[in-house]
Amino acid sequence: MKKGIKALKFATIMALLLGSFFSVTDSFAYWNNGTVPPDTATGTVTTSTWVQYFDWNVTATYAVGDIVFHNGSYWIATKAGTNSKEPTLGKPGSNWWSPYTP
Amino acid sequence: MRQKKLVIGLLVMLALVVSSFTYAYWNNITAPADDTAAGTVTIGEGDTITTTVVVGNVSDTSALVPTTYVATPGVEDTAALSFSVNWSGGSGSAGTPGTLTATIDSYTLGTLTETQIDDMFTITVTSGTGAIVAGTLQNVIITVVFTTEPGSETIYNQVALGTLTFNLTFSVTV
Repeated sequence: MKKGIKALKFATIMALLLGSFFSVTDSFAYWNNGTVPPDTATGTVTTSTWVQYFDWNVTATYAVGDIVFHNGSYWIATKAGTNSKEPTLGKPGSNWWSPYTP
Repeated sequence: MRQKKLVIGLLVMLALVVSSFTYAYWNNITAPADDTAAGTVTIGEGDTITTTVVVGNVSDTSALVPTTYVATPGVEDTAALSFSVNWSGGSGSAGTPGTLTATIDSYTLGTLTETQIDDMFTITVTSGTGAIVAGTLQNVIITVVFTTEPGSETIYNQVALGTLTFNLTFSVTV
């Protein structure tokens, strides 16, 4: 009797499983073809201004008030066109530059 | 007494009847003829869908300065740009899992070379790439940091009040 009930249960389960596998009609499946066209975008970032002192350059032309960094010190131009005058105290050309503290 | 005999007689008759009409079945040993049955399986239909990735341009107006100059209030050296990625397609594509990648292709700032820009800025994909689900928007964050000040006045003049533009490619693999 018990074997009969077990067999009946097994048959019922199998019927349900097979039914779920094979009795579905109108099923529809989608699949991707594996490639998705990429998209491109552009990002922009703006910058501001800031006070930055650059090394003295012998080839540069400076205006009065320009500030340079040279030999560990800051210098401010007191004359225009001081390109060839090295900012140095006590030497020729020193009158073209004055020490400057930022 | 007579009834008792009658009962006994009926029981005997019943025993005889039952035993006389006992019938036994047995298999004739030969296997039954094969039977056939038809099973029907209905095959569904399928289709290929095409999905697309759509991303818009993003602009940031933070007005960056080099990291060493951020002491000034309201001045930033970092900008985080959020790109909204929309991966979608036709009916049935929603919920499909995929992998999103974002690639920084190129960047320009004035007439500077990319090497010169690399010396001053770092541009990185901070978050948002990796797993993506079709039909849902996903934000990819690109972070720009102005790490190093220009090395010369010539470069400074290119960078200050300039616009750093970078091009990105967003791809999804399934």
